[in-house]
Amino acid sequence: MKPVKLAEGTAVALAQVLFIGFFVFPIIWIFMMSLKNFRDIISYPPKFLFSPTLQNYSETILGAEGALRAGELPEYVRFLINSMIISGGAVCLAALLGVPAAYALARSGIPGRKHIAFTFLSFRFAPELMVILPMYLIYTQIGLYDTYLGMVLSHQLICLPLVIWIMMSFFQDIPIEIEEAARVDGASILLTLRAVILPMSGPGIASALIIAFIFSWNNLIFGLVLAGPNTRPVTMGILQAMTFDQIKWGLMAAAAMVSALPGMIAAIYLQRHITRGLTMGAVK
Amino acid sequence: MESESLQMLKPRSWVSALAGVALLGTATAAVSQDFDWRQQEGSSVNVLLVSHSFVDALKPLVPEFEEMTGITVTLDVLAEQAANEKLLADLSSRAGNVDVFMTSPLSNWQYATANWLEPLDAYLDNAALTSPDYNVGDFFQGVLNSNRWTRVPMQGIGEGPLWALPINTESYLLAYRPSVFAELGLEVPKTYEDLLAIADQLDKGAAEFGLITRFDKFWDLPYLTFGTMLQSYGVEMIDADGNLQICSDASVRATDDFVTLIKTASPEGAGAFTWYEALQGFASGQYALSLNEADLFAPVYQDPSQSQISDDVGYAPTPLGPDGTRKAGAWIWSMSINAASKNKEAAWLFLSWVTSSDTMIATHLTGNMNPVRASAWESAEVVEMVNSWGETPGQYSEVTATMAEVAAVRFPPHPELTRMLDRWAQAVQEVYFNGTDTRTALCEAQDDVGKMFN
Repeated sequence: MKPVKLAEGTAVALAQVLFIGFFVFPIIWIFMMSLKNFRDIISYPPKFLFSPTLQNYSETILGAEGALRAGELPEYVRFLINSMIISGGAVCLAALLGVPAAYALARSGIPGRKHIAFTFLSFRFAPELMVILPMYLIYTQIGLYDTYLGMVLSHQLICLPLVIWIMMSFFQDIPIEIEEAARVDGASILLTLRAVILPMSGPGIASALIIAFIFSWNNLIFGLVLAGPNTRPVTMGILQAMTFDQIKWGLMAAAAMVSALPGMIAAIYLQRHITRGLTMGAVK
Repeated sequence: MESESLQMLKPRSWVSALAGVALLGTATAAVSQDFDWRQQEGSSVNVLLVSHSFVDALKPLVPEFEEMTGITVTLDVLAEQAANEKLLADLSSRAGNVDVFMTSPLSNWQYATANWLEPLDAYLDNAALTSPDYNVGDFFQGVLNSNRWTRVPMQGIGEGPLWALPINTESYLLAYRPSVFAELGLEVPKTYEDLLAIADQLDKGAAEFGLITRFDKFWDLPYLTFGTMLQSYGVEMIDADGNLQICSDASVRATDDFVTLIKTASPEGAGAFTWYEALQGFASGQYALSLNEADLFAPVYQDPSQSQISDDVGYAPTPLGPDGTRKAGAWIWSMSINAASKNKEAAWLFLSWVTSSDTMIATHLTGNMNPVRASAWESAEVVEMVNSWGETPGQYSEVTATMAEVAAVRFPPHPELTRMLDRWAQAVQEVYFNGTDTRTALCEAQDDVGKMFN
């Protein structure tokens, strides 16, 4: 029996390594590319041994040598800050609106609540291209184009459905008896939500917000059309490495690594909650 | 289709313009004292640019303009496709956010048809708006006039309103590695026949593969690079009688030869190469020859920090076709003003400053190639820089001069042209990837293109 078990164990371990390799390799490859100079990147066959350089990172973060105008932040850093403001703001607003909405949809007897919930979900699967042109026209007319407020509002199309749907299934998981006990003790709906439900939903809220943050952070199309030079997010910043006559792979890799950091840190730190949050909707 | 009006575009006139205008260029400098550059003080201009060496060269100069005019300039620089999408959103909604933008005659045939472009003649003719030392005659007239169009489909290019001002031009050439050709004892090919004869030997030396050129499924293939080969084989999209020539005998022959060359001398996957692969592949030293690629890749080839072959690159004119003809495609980056712009006069001041001789020369010295003004080609600093490129001193200048004589836009102006050329490129790809019979594939494309005209 033993050798068979050993073989089985080895096979499983090997499969795991392959599996991890499959997912991690692109990140490692991009990371390696971000440490190479242009000549090493384009050399063929690809080089695994090379003298690493931090040139791409310094050029990405500080801007090209001498290109800095006095008193201005480097472009890429501005893009990062823009993304923080937009995604951070969008998630806060989505939490403020989405959590009570999810609670109402999960618990109240509003007629047609399934349709309402589905309408929110449809924001998520309708292609953004469908709404982007009308939004551009409206935004330029009412002065929301290239403003943080405008970007935060547009990102509600991404964040709000995620928050509502993840939280809705989370709330439905909480035994109704707990709420009933609170209501019997004379708590209003709002007090029940604040004092009983929310403290119990910490992990759910955390995962909903982080997932919403990552989706918002990764969005490209709103940043392309609705943002101008003042509010352009980091996803557009990565594209700047593509010029007409060449792709500056090293810069692009470095920019991608830096912009992926917040998401990766959040994901690793809150991994458990995220899995729970993601699978929450799956069984419903 | 080479109608009377197209003759204007033939760069023979670029060259004669060069000779004729040289004198004017020096005589009219430094008279700009009277011109009021501050007339639009306090206004602002939004400029949408495509990420390009021109933009890198322009950026550091913009503060000078802001200081001189009191106009605030916001540059919005995006990758080409993103810029096009953003521009289309702005133009089609007539939002007027973008005042000035980078474009080309090909795109402008669509934009002008939709009334999205501001005609520029009235600004040029207005002494209150155009500095007296602007000297529009200093542009190579063929290049300048390629931005004129009457907006009648299929005709009138080079006539009618001026929709844009040029900022650089691109044509095509052979770039080769002298060390590889010397090692193999080969001559740089002068005709496509020569090239076909040596195609299978090019990878026998230090270079891993024989040749590289872009071979994507988009309009730039029949319009620019392979277009240069097609035209040298005597193929133009439409003949003098207005008949499509996409599956003519000459076109079939050129396509067969092209696919044979790629199959013989390029690596597998070459059927998906864009200009990125073409530029970076040749700069990496993997190839012996770069076939009919953009001449303005030269600054990258010559730069040791970006290229493995900076001391091992030579240039030659594109090969001659079967009957000894050489023709070539041309690309002209230009800038236009949005018809929906709310600051048109400030936008014009900016555009006329960008395309002035002094600003143009400053951009050429930091990577914006090739010049569109005679005074810029003749500037001592530009001459000195360009003369150092190539296997022998002056080789690049000689080759580009040779190519300038045969480079032209030989396509009918039509708002749907890019879609038609995409279909043509798709047919060439079918021949390469699926082994479809060349004539069948091209004739099907011709039928589809014919329908797009109606």
